[in-house]
Amino acid sequence: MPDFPLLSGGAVLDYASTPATSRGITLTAGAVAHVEGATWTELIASTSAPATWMLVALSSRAVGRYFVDIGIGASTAEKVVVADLFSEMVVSNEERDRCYLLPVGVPASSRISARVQSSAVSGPVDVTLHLVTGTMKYPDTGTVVESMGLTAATTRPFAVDPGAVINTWGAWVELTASTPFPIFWLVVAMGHGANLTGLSGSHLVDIGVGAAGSEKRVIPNISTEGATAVDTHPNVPFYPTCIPAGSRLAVRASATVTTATSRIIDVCVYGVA
Amino acid sequence: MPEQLTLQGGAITDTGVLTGTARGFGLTSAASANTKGVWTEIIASTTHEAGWVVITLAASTAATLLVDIAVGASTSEKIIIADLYTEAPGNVSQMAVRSYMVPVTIAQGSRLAARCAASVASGAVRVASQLVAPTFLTGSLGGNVEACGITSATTRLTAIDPGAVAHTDSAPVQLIASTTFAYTWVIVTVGKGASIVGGTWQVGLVDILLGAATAEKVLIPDLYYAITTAGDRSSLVYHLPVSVPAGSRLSARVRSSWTAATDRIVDIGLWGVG
Repeated sequence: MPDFPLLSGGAVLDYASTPATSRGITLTAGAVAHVEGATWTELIASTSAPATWMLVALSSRAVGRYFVDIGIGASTAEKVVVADLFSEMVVSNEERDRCYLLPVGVPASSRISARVQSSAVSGPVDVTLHLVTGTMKYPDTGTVVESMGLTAATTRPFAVDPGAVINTWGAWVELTASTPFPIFWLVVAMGHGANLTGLSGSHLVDIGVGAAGSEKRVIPNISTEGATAVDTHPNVPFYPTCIPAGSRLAVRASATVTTATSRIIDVCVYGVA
Repeated sequence: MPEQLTLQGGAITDTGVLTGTARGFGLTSAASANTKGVWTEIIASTTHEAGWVVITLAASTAATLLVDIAVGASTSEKIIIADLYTEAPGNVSQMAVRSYMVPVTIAQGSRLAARCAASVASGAVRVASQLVAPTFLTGSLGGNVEACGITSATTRLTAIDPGAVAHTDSAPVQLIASTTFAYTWVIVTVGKGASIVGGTWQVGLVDILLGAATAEKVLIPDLYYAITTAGDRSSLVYHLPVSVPAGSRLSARVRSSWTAATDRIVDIGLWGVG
């Protein structure tokens, strides 16, 4: 179990944005859909001190789905520290942002960069990054992030079908067969599903642990509601939790919407240890 | 009856979801605009101590709304989290939910209730809540929450005009003259402002500032927001473990890509936890 002390505050140490255009730093996906952009874009050349929290906000700028990697290291030697943070845009100019708060340690003097893949050829996404430091202490063994429930080949989180019966739980969908390490912080991101134009309705999402057929709810009833013509599930809740290494994680949903396709919600999770 | 979960540490229960309807409890504001409605019980008795409260708000009326969360017996409710903000544009089906993650302590056996005010009479909002048992992060966290930048008379946050020049910081606008206690966790959200119905696609950056007027220093720089043409402006809720000393004056400023009067104005609210 990680040695995780009391919550106490810090200060924003470093950040990345583009004040000249009042937005984040724009990343461009590769010229082939679902392929990571060939190049990393530098966000911070050198962090000024060790940081203990990473706040990443994503804003898609073209219709499509996006996976953003955050990397540390010199140019051409970047190492992914957070993989495949999800964002999407469902209707042009109906841009909504997603914000990921991750207790990820970043050493001083680190070069931070990012890259993106998208379902949209050369799709752009803006990223802002804040690194926070202060009196927080973290596990001596370091911090890692496991991304679960994502399909790189289609740049899409796993589809979760609540089924054709209103307000009834659908089948569990496996997010990972075995967590690689104990997870003490779980971030849950949701997307519009197959029908990008969406349908207004409400969903509840359960995250469960356990063998197939024996899942036990560890995060019950995450509430989200969809919108008709804009990005539908921009909220990205996070939970301090404790999920043992080797756990099978799964997700299920119920919904007020029963129309095939429109009722489907996409879900992925990011576990931090 | 909520289901208690028993993994090692960090048990999470839902206390404010109507599973029969796949959504949160419905609250209705008073028959007069900008007036809090009656308390609605979310749970009669919590099944474990909580170190975190997760509140998810979904407006179901085209309005701006402020939601209070309280503990205590009926008619003796004591507010623990005041004036959490949400909104919906003219087309309610294009609203977006806002989730607030608040590290406050709630004793086992507490009765939880909620109420709301709206910018319109009898405005409605759905509230879903989850309680997370205290664990690594929240062992001895205090649990005071202070809302800053709330304009109760209009059920809005604090309006900030980025000005007629694009991509230029506005003047700072005070959110609170003096923080009551030291904060260790800061929550910031952006509202659609005066142009809640409609608006124009735009993006912007928000600075949270600390210090006396004309001597402000940047506490949290460049929080990004995007405005949608038809939908909720920016449902994004930032959470940062940032320290703010007691007695601090907090303010905010905004820069935007958009310069048209009214549409360019955004609302900023901040909640400090300590």
